[in-house]
Amino acid sequence: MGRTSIWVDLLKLLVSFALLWLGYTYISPMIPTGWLPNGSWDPDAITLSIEQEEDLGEFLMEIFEIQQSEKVSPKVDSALWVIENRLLTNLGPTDYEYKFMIIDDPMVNAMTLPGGNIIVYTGLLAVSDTPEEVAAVLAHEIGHAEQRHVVDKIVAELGITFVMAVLTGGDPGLVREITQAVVSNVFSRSQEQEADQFGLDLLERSHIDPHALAAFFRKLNRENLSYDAEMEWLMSHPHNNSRIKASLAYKVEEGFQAEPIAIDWEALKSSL
Amino acid sequence: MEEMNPPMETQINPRYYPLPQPDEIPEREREDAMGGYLMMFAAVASSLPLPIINLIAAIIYYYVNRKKSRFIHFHSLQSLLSQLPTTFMNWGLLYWAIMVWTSTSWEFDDYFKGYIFAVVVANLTYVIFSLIAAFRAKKGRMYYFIFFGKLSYDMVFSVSNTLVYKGEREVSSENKPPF
Ligand SMILES: [Zn+2]
Repeated sequence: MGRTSIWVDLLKLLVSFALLWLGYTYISPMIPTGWLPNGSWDPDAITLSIEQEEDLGEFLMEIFEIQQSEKVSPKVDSALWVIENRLLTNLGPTDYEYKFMIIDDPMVNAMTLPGGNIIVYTGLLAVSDTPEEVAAVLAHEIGHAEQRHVVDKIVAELGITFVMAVLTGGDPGLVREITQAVVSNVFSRSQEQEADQFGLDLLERSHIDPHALAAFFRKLNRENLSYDAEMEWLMSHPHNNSRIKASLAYKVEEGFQAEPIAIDWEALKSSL
Repeated sequence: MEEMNPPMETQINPRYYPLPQPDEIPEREREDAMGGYLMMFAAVASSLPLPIINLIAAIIYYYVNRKKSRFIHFHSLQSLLSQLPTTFMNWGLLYWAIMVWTSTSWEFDDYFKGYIFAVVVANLTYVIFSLIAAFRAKKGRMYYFIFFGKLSYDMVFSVSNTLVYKGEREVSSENKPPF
């Protein structure tokens, strides 16, 4: 006892730190994180399993569900089902079991959570003139999921948050930041273009006129020349003219016939 | 090997000052003792990206408060000492990260990943135990971290600590015991 026990303690501390360091060094080759030896990061090396992604997505969906005070009317639910069903039956093989949820909120917004979970705000339906425009936005969102943009973004932002947390000595707002990183839907310009291309292609396969996407963008342009806080989708999706042009320039196969989506849209909008 | 528990009186080690008990510690002292641990949260909350502000804050806090009482001295010293290792580890991490990103001969290898992991665990451990210690200090309790607790106790309560505290009678060395 006495003073020698102080130095025994120090030894214990040093040994535990060394064990932690070397232990993790030993097992780290077994944990895929996508980091390359030169310190750069390769998103393709990430193998977050579909199950893990689904668990995370389900958890986030529940958070949204809890926050929602009122259920939307079954009319709106079934209209959305008609649109999503048209897209999903033409999607082809996919790793995800898509789940759509409608949120009663005037914000013009739709977002893709991990695991093929897509959230649609009623504001998006209210601003759309046709069900085809909604389908165009959903096809774009499905594009983000299919091309793994969501997973890539989460992992990249988690990495940054993680290093910052270490450097600031354990930030108490860490959990909040992680949630924000996961939920915020800001993708890179090239990811947006990829999602657009995927969406246009999916629209064509689903017998929906791909120009509906351009129509939707133009509409947002007309309705909202200055950025408005309620136009979330608009803000996270800079609808520059090149994207409108790209969707207008999209060439459909010869003999393409659009099949209208059978929803009484005016009746639906009045029930919102 | 089992040790016999000596009766209460003989447990008092003559080489150390007696510990203050909760009922002897005024509210003001408890708050100052707690402040040492909470200092780092203030430093983090000001969101300064360099892991040095917390250290400077702790050093200033220590020198301002250590003469107030042994109880405050103990807690602020423990807070200061316990954040030294994590601060140095964080500096090491920062340096290592800069080298990896700027120099071609440094690699983002498994040793670096292991180091990041160990540093994160160390930081979390430090934060959690500091919070516990802050709550204990507020209740007028001692709380000893591994190593840092014993070291701080030894430095503050040992008779070789010659600091003079407010309200504590100065120890005169004119009369000495015979052995
Ligand atoms: Zn998008």
